[in-house]
Amino acid sequence: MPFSILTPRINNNDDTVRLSKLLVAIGTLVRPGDLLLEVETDKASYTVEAEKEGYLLAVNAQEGDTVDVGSVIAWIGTTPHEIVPTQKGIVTNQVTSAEPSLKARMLLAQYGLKSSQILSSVDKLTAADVEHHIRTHGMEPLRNSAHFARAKTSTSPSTPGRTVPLTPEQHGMLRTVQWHSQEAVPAFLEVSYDPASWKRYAADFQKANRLMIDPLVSLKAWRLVEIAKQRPEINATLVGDQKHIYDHVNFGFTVQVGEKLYVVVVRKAESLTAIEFVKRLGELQRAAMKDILRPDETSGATIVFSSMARWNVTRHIPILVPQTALIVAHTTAGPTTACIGATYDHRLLNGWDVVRTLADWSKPEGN
Amino acid sequence: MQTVQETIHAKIVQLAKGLGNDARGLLDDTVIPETGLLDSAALMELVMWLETTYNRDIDQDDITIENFGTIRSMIAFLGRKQGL
Repeated sequence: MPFSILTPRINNNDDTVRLSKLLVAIGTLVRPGDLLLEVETDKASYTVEAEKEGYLLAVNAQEGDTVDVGSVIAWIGTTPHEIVPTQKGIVTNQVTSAEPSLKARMLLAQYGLKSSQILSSVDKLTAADVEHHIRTHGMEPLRNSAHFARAKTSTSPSTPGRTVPLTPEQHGMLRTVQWHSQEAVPAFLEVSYDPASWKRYAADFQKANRLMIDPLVSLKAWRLVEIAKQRPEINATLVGDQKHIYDHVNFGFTVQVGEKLYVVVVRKAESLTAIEFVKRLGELQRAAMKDILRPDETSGATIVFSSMARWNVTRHIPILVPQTALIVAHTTAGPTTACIGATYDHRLLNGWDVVRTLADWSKPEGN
Repeated sequence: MQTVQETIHAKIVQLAKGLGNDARGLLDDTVIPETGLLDSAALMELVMWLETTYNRDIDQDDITIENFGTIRSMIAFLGRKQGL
């Protein structure tokens, strides 16, 4: 099934953009972060990137065409021969004067659509009309700030220097940072805990399971999975003005390999046992080291754990991964005391929610 | 030419050095995780290095103390996997 790339909004007041340049040929295999095409308005331009790995199947416009914001501008498939759904994003003349209902209005915002793009069945634009449009056009909700893109700055530094393109990893980080800064309302807090009980627990677990590798950090990550199961509100994100509570705990875990930072994702982590989780995380870490992670192993995180203990970092304030509400910041522990922190999206969680989460987390066996 | 034993030993020394530890005195029967010379990420890197250097597929389930705890057990495991 091909997936769509939506036309980004560059400026608040512009509902269309021009396709200024195609950067890859149809049929090209692209990876997340690869640059696909450039769109522009009179005020700014923006480069659209691939969000997933796949083959560029089609671009629904030609250079110079005007395209509706939120419409499908390109299609990517897992094979180069997939059939592209028939959909054009070029400006159409389907104008309706129908007033949208409240639910329709929310859907319009969620998908970056305007009521004038949609034909209404009656004199009021209903949610069913919008859903029909979404379905027939194969659209996906605007998921992150890549779709509400920050325009490229047009001013260059006055000090001479070289300008080089960002790597795909740097593009990925840029997307994350932009979501964190433009959409979330991040806050951070940390609490102290007794590291000795965790060490004992991990040592017993390692011995019981005859593990070669110390499972301490993996078990600390697992504890957060258990808490997310019990307290689904921390495994959520905000869509429009509604809380979207995820059905599954897709657990993100940061892995630094040389210069690259991955967030590997254990999908449906809530369905695993502790030892299954530890082993799955180990597999993903090894795959990251070999640079053979599949796209579904680095996407879709719903809650994240980031450890910098290895480098003796005593405090770090991580940025939120797009569409998550919580990332736990794990740091190095002293012999008798340690701190565990978390960055959270204050639109969804308050300090007390996070304090409770971290207090529960500090007890290895949940007692 | 280095023996398999010497090659693995050299790799462990290199990984430990990256963490500020000196593993030159490590014996073939020393249980590596108990020495604290390598942290979990370095141990994982060691397993991955063994996998690629000696062209063996290593299941996550195989990464046990029995199979990888010492240099001697690593060599035995690799041998069992494909006759080293």
